[in-house]
Amino acid sequence: MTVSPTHISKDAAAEALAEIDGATTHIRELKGYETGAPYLILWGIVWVVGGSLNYLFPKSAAAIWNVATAIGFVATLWMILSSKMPHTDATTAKRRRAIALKVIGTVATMLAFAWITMWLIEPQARQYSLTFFGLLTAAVYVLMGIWMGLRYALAGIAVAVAVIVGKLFFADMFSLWFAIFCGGSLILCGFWLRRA
Amino acid sequence: MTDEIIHQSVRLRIMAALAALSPAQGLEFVRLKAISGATDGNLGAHITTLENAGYVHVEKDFVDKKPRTRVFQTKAGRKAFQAHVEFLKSIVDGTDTESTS
Repeated sequence: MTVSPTHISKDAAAEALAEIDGATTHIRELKGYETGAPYLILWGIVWVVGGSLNYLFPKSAAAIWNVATAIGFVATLWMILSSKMPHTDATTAKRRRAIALKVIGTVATMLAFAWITMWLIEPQARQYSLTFFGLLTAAVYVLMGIWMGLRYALAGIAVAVAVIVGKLFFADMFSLWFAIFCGGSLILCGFWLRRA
Repeated sequence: MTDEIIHQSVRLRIMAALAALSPAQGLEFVRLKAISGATDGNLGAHITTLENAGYVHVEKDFVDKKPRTRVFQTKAGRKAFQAHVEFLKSIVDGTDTESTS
């Protein structure tokens, strides 16, 4: 071990601290991608299945999306509770319960927002709901990207582009487009995050 | 006092990345390569230097028949890194008495 009283200038010390900050930010970003990737893939699958069933059974669209969202919610909770956490056994259960409660609160808020918005706006066609929630999800990922890493933002932009193109050019078969391209974008971005 | 083993730029980034994780979490060689910006051989040499100092330990295994090398920070490494960060901060704050500014 070499520990010696070497002189380091103020600038060199500041530079070294900046380098440490850079490496710390980088690793947190990578860990964030690793943690978030399975959830993008999960919700991508929910969108693919929900959108496809919506296309096949348009009259049952509301029920299909309610069930699909509920399954996604339960699966999300299960993934959190069964995930490996880098803490001691004593703290793991407590941390998991706290995270699970926050997820329940977040998803419950989003569902309440969704139902109240649809109730008040009363969209004339299911594709308006899908457009709205597709763009809302895209915005959430872009915001996550601003705080947690560029790849989330790019995933959000990919979903937004898929929603806009589908709504403008493939409105007649939008639910199928939503399933393939919006759900597909989430799945692909999930794998992309996992490889970061 | 500066820890010259840690202060070297590539090793500093390796130690900073490992310090951002919990002690039970290691980093794969490929990830450290991306973070440090070093080549395979260069990174291997720096990891050996840190390992010889007792700051990291290396675990090699196979996942899906592919070799995997993971680097973990030791307790001594974590302590030395924290001490070095404090030392650097003291220079920037002007409270260090040994280094010149």
